[in-house]
Amino acid sequence: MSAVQAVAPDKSRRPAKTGLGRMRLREEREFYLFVAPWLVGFLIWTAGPMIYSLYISFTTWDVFTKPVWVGLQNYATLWHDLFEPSQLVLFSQSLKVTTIYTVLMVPLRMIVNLLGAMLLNQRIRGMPFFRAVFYSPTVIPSVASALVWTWIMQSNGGLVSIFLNKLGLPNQTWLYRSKTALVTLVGLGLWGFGSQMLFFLAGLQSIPEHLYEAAKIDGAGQWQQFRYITVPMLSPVIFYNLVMSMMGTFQAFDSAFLYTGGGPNYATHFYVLNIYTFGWRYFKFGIASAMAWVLLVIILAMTMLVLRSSSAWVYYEGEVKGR
Amino acid sequence: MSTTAKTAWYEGIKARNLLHKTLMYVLCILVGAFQILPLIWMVSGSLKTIDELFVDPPMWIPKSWQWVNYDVMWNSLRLQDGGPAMPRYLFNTVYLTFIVLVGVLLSNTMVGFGFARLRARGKNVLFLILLTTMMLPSQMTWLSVYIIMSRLPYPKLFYDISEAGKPILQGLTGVQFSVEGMPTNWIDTYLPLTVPAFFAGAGTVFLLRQFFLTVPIELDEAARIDGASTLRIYWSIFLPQAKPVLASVTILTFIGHWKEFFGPLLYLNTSDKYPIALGVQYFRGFADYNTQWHLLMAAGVVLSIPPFVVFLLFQRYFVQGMALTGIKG
Amino acid sequence: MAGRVSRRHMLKLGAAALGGVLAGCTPEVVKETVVVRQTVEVEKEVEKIVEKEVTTVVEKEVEKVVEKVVTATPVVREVTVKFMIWGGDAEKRAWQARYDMFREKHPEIRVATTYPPGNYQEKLTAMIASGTAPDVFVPQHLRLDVPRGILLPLDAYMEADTDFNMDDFIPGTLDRGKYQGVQYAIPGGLGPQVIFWNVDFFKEAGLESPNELHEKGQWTPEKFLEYALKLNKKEGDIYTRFAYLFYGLDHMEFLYQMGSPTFDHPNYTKCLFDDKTREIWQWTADLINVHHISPLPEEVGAFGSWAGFRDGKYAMYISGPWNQARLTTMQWQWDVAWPFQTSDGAPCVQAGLGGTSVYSLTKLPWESYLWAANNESAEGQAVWAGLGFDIPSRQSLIEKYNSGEMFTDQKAKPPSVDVWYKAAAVAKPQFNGWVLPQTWTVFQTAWGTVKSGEKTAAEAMDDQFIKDMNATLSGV
Repeated sequence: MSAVQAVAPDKSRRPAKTGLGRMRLREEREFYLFVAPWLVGFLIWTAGPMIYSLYISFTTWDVFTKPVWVGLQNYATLWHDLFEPSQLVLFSQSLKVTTIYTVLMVPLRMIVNLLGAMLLNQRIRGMPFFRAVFYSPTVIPSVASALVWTWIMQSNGGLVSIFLNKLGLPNQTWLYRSKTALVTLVGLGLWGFGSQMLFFLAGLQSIPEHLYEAAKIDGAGQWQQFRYITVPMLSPVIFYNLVMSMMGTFQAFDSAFLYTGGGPNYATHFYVLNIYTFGWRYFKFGIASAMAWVLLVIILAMTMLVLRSSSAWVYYEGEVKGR
Repeated sequence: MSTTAKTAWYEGIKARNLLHKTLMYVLCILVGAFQILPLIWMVSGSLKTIDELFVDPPMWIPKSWQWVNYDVMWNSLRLQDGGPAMPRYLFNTVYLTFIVLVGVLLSNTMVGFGFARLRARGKNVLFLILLTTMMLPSQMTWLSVYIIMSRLPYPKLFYDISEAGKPILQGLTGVQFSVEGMPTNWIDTYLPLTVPAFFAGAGTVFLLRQFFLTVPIELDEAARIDGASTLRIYWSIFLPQAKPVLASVTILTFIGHWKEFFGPLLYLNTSDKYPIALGVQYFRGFADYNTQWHLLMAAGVVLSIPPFVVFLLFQRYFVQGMALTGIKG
Repeated sequence: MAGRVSRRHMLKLGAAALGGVLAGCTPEVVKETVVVRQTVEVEKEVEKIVEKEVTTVVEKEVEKVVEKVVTATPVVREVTVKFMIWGGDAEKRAWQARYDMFREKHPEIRVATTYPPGNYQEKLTAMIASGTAPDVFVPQHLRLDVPRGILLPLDAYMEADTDFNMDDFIPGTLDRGKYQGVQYAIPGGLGPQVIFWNVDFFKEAGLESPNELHEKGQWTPEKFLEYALKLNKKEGDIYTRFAYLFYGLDHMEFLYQMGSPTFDHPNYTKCLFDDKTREIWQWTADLINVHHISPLPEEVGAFGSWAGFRDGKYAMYISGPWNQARLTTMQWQWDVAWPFQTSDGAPCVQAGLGGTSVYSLTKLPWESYLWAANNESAEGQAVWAGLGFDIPSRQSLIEKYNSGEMFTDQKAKPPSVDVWYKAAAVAKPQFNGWVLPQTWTVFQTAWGTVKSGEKTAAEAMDDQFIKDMNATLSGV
């Protein structure tokens, strides 16, 4: 909990006294009123299913028949797989694949989206048009983009291969070889801007112009302006994008499901793809739930780490006066 | 500084600006060209015959423009009573997206404001729980959610309102609606797809909390001194301040729900109730059996227009946000 | 029609229903059936009521069927059977045609159909788990679904139904819907895999027709390779046409054709692969990697599958009858031939798809059965086969099919249409319809490494592989 406190220092535990105390109590009541929509929704639709899946992780269950309690057996199977990896569990393999993917993807995606947002933040004519163009891959149905990608990536006569052939290199086969498939998915994932860019753009637009003007007068160059104005002012957005991107990438599913099916030879068998396969293909919901809860713990630990560090680098203007 | 030197200095700035602008244009066009490829391909595909779609190397410009694809696409799918399906699907999507948008904007801003600006015991624990709900893959929870939805009773009031509203909507839009029996639970109704939107989502709450934390504290302190209530501060100070981020939330929610596939697929059984993103899937056959790609592409073009319009309409609020913060400074 | 069932039939039905239910239920299975009834929430008290439930289940089944049979003479109250099936607009129309026929015969039964355009299995699972299951649906996998107790044994109903005429089916074809001898699904039309070949390309290369070679007994693996090499076409370094296309299940057919041992049919609990299997895998992979008569996995995207054959990018293509319908716009002449001959020349028949089952806890078992059976009646099968989607499994239709009378579009009919029926008669079931999904994953992943050339067949099919296969087959 202390990690969160570091983000938003909370002085509410101060003993309630006199008029100030009453105000505090009122504020507390107001807080619960304001978050009531989420709290009620959480209690109706989220809490139950989460707890149930935790229970299922200690059982074997095929949805149709009664869950059978097996204690820690599912977790023991996962633990065992760390030391003796088996393709019948795929826990360590999928964890490895997902970790590599996350380590590469999170920073790269953030850099690409920040650069895109900075480009779209320029004041030139026709900017609304360019913004729409940059965002178009997200807007159009995935059927169309998937077909185009097949053609760009296909080895015989595809765009990438034609380019490679011009350089005197052989056709690309990256997506079809276990050594290169994962990195290729990273590349595919970087193409196209997403919601991150939108948030960066909104953040960039919110930075007061006078800060830059003051910096220019003080003789700050482009890099210094970026380093000492843009980054700190953008830090709440960076923080948000970092946390969300981490959660999203650890739970990556679609690209492997669409492009590789987890292959070749499990090289792109993402963690959640494994959960999905064990649950919805093999109907082994017990072990799939155990994997899901291990993932929750991993992501939670990473998030706490970021939260803890954030007091050192995230700057909230609304917080300066000690809220 | 002499006048000539001043002019030279000014000219230098101008030249640098020009260079900068040209560079930006070149970059925008280069990157943009890559991004727009699927869009162009989809538009060109929607105007080809199905055979032209699969020639190798790909053909970007159709031999003869098949405008008829749009006609076929719009008129070939049928509702269960034989009426045209597309207008109904489109109506369903607009209806669903609109309700969800209202719900998302209302509930998330409230909760986000609460987490960012109000102090209370247990707040940090709740926030951590909020984040944690995003960490469990939905693949392991949606089955339970479905069962909950199937146990919730359908409110009679909703049914009465919707049945009473049907003739009015029919008159307004020309879309046909058939009379239905009162549903017993939430399955095969729109409630599982709309009601949760009014109960906030973790990701959006987190985003808005982050944004509200950056709003200078002086603003609400001044308002409090003037005697404004918390609700008023939220409504009259924070919401207008949040225009850029609300624009992003609107765009994302709109696009997300406009294209939403899995939820409606799961909860709706009657295909007449499908949103358009699901309805156009009927141009596919199972296992690509007889898939009518050209019609799918034409539908894709039609489907993409509203999100583009929404994007263009709302992206200008990014700029407005800048103007606002300018005042503040 | 139910009114036509005689009293003798009725008694027979009662006895058969009892027998069927009991035969399908070993003690463990019964337990599970009961739990399905309770679905997710109720977990206590199950043990107590097991016995009571078993007898009531059986009694109810019989009672319901009997009651229907007795009372259904005049048109009673209208009932609605819920049905879930996949498919696009074309299939929707075909189902509508079947439904129109059904309504004429049974005006008292309505069928409300859900056509989810994707994620069928997930949706079905959610519906069953929440107690909103459809009455008739496509089972996922008999080996998984029967032990879960979600399928109704159908033997009693089929016996009682004088219209169904079981004897009309090609012997053995109904077995595809049986699990341990009990009928749980009514299987649809057949889909034996044969070779589609481009007649013009063969002529152009000066090659004999595979149908003639087959007659002479010369359509052997060696001949196949020899021909394939002549049918490949290159412009410079780039292939513009391949002789053949391997797709996902290709190597399975080769295992069959070339006589590899597979599994302990009909139990499928043990993998019998041996050195001969490895040899066949290697030979098959070499066709792709060494001889390049088929595109490499990464090249398939550019050539497409059935569309590639239609567009003249392949000279041969192995497939089931569902591809006939799509070749009506092909500009070259095409035909179908036997797969190349080996010891017994048997191609394989799709075993998994195309059948429908009745939900075990349906409130309308008899009506649901009638709808499921209607789709595989002579008229029902004619709808599907007429569109060129599959070939009928009823003998009374085969004659019409061979003469081409049944096709709504004559361009969907190959000249040697009788190859289908002959192939179906000697075909074996495809084993992916019987092994569990996880076995399939292990099997396909290993083949993937051989196919791409990353491993040799011997490396991929090592002891660990056999061990893993056996572990998944026993359902661990």
